[in-house]
Amino acid sequence: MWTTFITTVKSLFRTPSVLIWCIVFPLALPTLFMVMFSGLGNDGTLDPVPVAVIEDQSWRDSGFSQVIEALDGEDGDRLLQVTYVDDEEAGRALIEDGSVAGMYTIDSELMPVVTMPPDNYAGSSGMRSLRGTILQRVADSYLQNYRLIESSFEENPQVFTNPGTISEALGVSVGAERFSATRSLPDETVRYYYVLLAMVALMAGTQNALVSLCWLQPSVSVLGARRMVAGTSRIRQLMGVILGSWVVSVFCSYLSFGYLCLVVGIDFAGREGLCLAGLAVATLASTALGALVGALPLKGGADVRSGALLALVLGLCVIAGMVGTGSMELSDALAQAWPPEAWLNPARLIADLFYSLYYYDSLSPFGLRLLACAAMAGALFAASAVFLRRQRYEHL
Amino acid sequence: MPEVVSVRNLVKRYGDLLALDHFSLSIGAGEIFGLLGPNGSGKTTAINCILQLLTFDKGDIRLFGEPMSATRYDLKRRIGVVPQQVAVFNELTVRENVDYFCSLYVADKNRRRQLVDQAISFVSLEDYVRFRPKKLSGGLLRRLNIACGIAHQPELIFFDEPTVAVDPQSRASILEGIRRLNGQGTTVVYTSHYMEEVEQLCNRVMIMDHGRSLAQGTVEELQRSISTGEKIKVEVGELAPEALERVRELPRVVSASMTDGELVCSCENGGSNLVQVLSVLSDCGVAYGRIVCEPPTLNDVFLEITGRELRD
Repeated sequence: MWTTFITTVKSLFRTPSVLIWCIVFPLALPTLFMVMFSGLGNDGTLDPVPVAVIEDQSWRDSGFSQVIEALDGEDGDRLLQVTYVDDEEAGRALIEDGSVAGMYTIDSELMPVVTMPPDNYAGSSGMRSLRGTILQRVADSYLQNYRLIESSFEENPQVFTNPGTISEALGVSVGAERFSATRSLPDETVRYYYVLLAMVALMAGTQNALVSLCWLQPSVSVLGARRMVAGTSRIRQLMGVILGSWVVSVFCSYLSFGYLCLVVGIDFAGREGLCLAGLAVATLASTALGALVGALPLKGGADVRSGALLALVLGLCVIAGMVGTGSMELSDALAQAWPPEAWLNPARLIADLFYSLYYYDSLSPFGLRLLACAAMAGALFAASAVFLRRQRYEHL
Repeated sequence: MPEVVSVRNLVKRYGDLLALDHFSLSIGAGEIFGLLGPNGSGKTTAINCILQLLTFDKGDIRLFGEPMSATRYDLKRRIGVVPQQVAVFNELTVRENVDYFCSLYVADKNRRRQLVDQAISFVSLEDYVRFRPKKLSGGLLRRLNIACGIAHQPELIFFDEPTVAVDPQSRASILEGIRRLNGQGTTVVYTSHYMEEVEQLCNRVMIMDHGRSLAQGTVEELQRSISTGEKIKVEVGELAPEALERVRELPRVVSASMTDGELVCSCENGGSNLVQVLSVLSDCGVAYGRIVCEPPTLNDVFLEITGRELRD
């Protein structure tokens, strides 16, 4: 059994399809994710918006100047970065060379006016639109509050005796507390990496088990027929093959996990050890799935089985909601229509195993799914053994 | 001579096709036994049934005097198998392959190392131990296949058409290797549809067709068992039709024809056929050159029994 195990490990690591599915694919996909998500990694914070202000007499007489100075403060909540200019021409020059996102001027009624770059201005349209919206919103908010205070004063001057009423009228919040409902800072991208781990565990386990089992089956390969007439019992060879393919799968998934942690820099919030345990059990379940498909009495050789398995795994991933929005909607619909699917679909179970680390503080859902994966592995291995026992070499 | 392989009334069907029809076989220790027959005659099926790779419908198989079954690993460990198709790991090197197959029979690592070295040396693959099978030629691959089958030094080896698609040099090397194995006391079962190989190599031969044994014995016994005798070839240049007709009328000449300036006569066993043919040619004033007399071949045996050529 030991030499069969060693031979299986060596052979799998030298098989091109295994290298592609179990090593290249798991490393390429997170790299792609890293590039895709690179613009979303600033945790919602925004740099101060650069704006030009014409510092003339109207500006100094306007109350808006005090608002802008406050927003240009040096503390952590700085919203604007003001550049004072002498005239409108200098301000437009700053807009054109991209130094500022817009310009504030004060009109004859001492009200703010925003000047924005033209629509055909070169640059990131999304960011330009966001900055312009902020500048416009600041000016609009000032105008709205000014008109509100003005009308309130005209209708009921007594209202100004109670500052709380003014604050309430202006919608100013007097205090806010930030707290986290999860055990770490919420990062939407991490869930994609959990799905990736689930897919790696599925692909590696199934493909490795299938490939190595094809090398053992007399009806699939001449190598299998040769091994069947050897002096070592078939069950010992089978155990060596299964153990070898599982170890290779675990190695590949751990390699992928290490890449996520050390290169991509994903923070699994202290649950790295649980991720590793999850990967080990998930690959065991997927190895059992690959063994079952490999043991099925299908017509055709290893290529037919490999294609059938790939189609099956992708199909299971689709109904498990692992491949896009449409897939997630299908998964939700299926979960509502037939809840046991969550426990019977190996792809769904493995994906949920990792989701449970992300969504729940408690480890109970994770532990439950870990046990379910192990039970599923046992059931699939037992079914594989039944098919393998019945299998005979029948070849003219 | 103790019986190593004993098969009695083996019947194997593939649906409606009767692949083995009450096939029986007995091979003694130390023999090189040849199973000769055209493709599809049941040679490989018979071996696969003996090795329990195939189930069978009826019959009794005993190896080394013990009943053989799929789980008789004690018996399997005494057997070597060189299958018709090359069955090795493409991902492993030559040495790793031989070591793995040897490990299926021999657990001790130190002993295995010696056996692997000997097997590699036996098939002269020392210069290729680090090569993977895809880099080997057809002949070298066949030698690797043989090394994997013999490394554990079995008492009985089945060679199933080991020289198919092999160049003449490698073929000669393989046949020589089998003779050496036999010389060391190994019993060999050799299947082939190349009669020349079987004639050269085997002590005893069974001729098979349609899953049945048609004849068996030593090559000489088989040759004597048929009425077809020697084949006489005489280089004559030109031969008048009357002279050819006189040769055909000779009492023991079965057939006579001219082929590429050569008179070819098939004769019955016995008598002085050559003297009679040359006498007719002299009477007709035919000058002749090179003369060849060939004894009947296994192909002639097969032809006479079945009415068709072995290679049909």
